[in-house]
Amino acid sequence: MAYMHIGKDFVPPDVNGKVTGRIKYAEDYTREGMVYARLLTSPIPHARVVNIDATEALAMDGVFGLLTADDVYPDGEPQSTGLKVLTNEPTLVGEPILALAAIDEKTAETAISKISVTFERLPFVLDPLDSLAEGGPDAYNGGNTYVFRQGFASEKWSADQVASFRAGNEPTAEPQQTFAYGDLDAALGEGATGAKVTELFGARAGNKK
Amino acid sequence: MNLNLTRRRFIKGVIASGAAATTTGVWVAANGAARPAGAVERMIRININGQVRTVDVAPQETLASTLRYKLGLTGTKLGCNRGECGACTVLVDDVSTYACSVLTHSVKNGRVETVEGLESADGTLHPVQQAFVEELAPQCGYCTPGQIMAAVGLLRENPNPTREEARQGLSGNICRCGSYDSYLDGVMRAAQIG
Repeated sequence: MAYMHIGKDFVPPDVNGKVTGRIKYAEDYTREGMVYARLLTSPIPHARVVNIDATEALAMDGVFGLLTADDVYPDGEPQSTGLKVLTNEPTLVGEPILALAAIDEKTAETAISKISVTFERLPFVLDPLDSLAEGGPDAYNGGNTYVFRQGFASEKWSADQVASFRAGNEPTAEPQQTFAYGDLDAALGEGATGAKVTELFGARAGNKK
Repeated sequence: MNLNLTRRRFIKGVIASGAAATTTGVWVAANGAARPAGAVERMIRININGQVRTVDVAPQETLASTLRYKLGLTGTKLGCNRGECGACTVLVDDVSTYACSVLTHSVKNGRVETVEGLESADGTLHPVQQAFVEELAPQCGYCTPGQIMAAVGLLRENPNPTREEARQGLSGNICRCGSYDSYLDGVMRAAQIG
């Protein structure tokens, strides 16, 4: 089979636009009536938002409104980690707390500077191992570890495990997933979906070797 | 004669007619000693890419804002808007300058060059642009205009830099893709073909 690009010398079609400044990135577009957003981000690594006073900002000319974590996906963001784009419990410096929309960027920035957020400080770590140690603080309410499609769990290591890891040894744990051999085509014929297919697909990939 | 009043009428006239300030004598008078302390003329003439453009510039407006939002020259990027990343690098009188960190009014008498001004009228790329294409230097490309302007500024001052000198010349430009070596390859190639 003849490939169009593989094994050949060619200039990707976007390179000229990049060196001339001609291609437009998202923030290079403007539209009539467009409004501009700015984020208020967490100044501290771990905290709980106790109160947001935006009275003065919202009273400014050219300010349209703001969104907080309570406004976006009130029941948690679907199909993902359950974390929201805005949060009332920042777990790192710079995590977005609220977004404000205004008629231009300068107004939005000025308005953000007039918002007063009261935080309750929470314990934080600078080294993830400090969270894994017994009694170490957890970043999230439900723990310090996110298990895919299951949610947060608290994972703690014994003092020996932490010391072993610090000494350069790889951690050992029970595998999260296992694969079994089977007949994929037969299973599909029986209407298998989801986890069953994933499992059997792994098996077929294995059989091909 | 009330100079302030004259000046105010003059500005109103310029704004109302949309006309450029063309009469040098009037312009000097308008910028003269009678100007109230702290005030600056908003309508300015500034040389961008060899063309004198007339533009309404607020006193606190940065060059990057003027280029991007008033003149539509979005090739100059804003990465950090605080003089850390170099994405907004332009040349002012051949010196590479962070456009986010100079006021337009402070450079209005200079020659400003942006990435849009490098290509020839017939579409021939500048040697630095051509070299960056040949080396496939950009990845996402967001920092590329700034890297190019820094490289052009460097090569005007030092047409045959060592790789270390090129590294120094581009040290004010951050690339989050980490394409630094490719950009340096581009500068070294540009020095050969330029």
